[in-house]
Amino acid sequence: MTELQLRPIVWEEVLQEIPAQVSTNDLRRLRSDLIEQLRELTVGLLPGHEVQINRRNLRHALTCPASAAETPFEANAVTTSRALGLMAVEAVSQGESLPSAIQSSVDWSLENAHWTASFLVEQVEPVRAATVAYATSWAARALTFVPWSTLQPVRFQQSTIWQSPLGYKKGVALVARPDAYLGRTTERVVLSLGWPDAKVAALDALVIALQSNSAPRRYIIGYPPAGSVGALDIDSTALDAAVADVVEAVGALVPEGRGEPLFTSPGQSCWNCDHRIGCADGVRWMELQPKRRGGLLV
Amino acid sequence: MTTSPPAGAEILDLIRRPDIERSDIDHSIAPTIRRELESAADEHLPLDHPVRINKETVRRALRCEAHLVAHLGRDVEPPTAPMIRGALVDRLFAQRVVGFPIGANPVSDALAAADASDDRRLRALWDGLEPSEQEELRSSVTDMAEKLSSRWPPLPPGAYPRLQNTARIELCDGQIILSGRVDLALGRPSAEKVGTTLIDVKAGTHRLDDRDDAGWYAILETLRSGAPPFQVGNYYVPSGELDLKPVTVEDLQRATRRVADAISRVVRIAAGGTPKRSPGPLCPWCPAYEACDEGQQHIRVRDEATGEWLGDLDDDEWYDEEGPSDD
Repeated sequence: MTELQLRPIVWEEVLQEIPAQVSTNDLRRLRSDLIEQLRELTVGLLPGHEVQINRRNLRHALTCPASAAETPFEANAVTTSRALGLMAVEAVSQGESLPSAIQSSVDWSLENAHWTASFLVEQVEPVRAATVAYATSWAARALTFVPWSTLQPVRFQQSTIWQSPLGYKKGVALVARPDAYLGRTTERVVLSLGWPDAKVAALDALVIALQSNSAPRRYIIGYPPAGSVGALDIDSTALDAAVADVVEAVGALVPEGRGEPLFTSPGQSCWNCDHRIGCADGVRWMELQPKRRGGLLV
Repeated sequence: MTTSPPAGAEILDLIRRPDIERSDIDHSIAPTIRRELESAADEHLPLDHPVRINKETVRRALRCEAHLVAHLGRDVEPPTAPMIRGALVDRLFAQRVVGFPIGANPVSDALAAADASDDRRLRALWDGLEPSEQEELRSSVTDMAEKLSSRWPPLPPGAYPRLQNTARIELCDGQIILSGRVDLALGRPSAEKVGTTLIDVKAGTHRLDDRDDAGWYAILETLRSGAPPFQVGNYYVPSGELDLKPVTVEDLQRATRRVADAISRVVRIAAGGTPKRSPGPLCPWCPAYEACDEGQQHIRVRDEATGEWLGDLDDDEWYDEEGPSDD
């Protein structure tokens, strides 16, 4: 299958020439294919175990399953910055100032037992300052990078989107994390701010399609550090590719749910792997590589 | 006569510069810079492996290519006390930028902020210091915290502060990656006028490289956003000096030539070229000095010349014990 690619796009084109939506019949077929393949893969899963595929572990699962093994999630100033920052961006779009919007996000999260609340509650001042600093920076980047006024109407997606193709708590959960929907409802253009990865765009599009029975038509990933904007037009090919990735990723991670070790496939991804220190295969591979710093042989 | 450093509204005025009209954005500048930087690498592409270039790489490559390779090849040394001080001050600066006061124990504040940001390394580095080093650092950081508290103002709501703002620019289809992180980015361009201010925070004194670093950030921002920044510079916390300079076309051209020169050297080395040696006064501090004939020769010649010059001075009547002659 051809590797999906994001094509460079300028903001002015994001809501122009939007492709036709994937048909209901095609969506039905995709869902049926996905369920059939996942059912076969998840035979023998330990009770209560769920294989989760999200934007953080998808690439890892496809390159080296062991690298996708779960690490405990920690709420901290960095990991809460997007959630708080996105709430603030929405508030700013409604006329609030950024500093006030950040404070409102913190207050709302505490009052509504948002997942960030466990980190926000009873913070000492320097920790609250760090939290506000990261959230403010995230929001300010989003506000200065995206020309929101030209992409109206905008509907912010504050929560992650979950889809369990085999049924709730039935072994597989797919998670999407778009940031906003752009343009008219019928245009179904989705925006995410982050690392430009076409597979992530396709995964999110698939999850949204399965959850709402209506596929997005275009997925935009904006990456502020590079100033890049990339588009993936969502057609059957893109969704088929997403299904193939999900099936492969679930297949790679399922052994963990049967009490078996995950397969290692050392390679370039070892350098950034969370588990590299304890991975004998990874360490061995890295030791055999020519020593480079900044890409230069040293 | 010494002038006191800017504080409060004076800092805001230096950032806003209401006396300077924002220039129009020349939309051809970013593509021109990109073309010039990519042309610098053309001769030696394609590479087997992408190269990553930051401001340190540029600096060292231009100083001496052999020094760059030697520096990259050495074992990573633990951060020095000044580096740890800089990291602590960065945390406190962030606190002030978002309007929070710094408490009575600034080092404790900074370490708590680092812990909360999943930066456990800073506390480990602090704990690894000798008590006397901690005492010295605590004193200087506390002094800087007081200065920050008394000088750095609350920012207006439209400032849109981006702390530790990263830029990552790929050239030549990803074979060359330019990266940098400026301590604070403020404002933004309008549709047709420049508007962003980039500030790097320094916990020490002026260095010769500071202006060149500002040029580096200007290049990255221009490539990242398509628009040059309005101004770039440094904030020196100990002295309180805010050294910002509006970015001109000439500044960008000069910075582009500098970065292009560095890219050309780095890519040539990456493609298998022999690093050239450019001896200079800093040779004795180079990791490769002991094995570098050119460097040692340069220092020997310099020392001999200095010795001769001093010897000449000893014979000169100007330096008689009775003082200079009236002749």
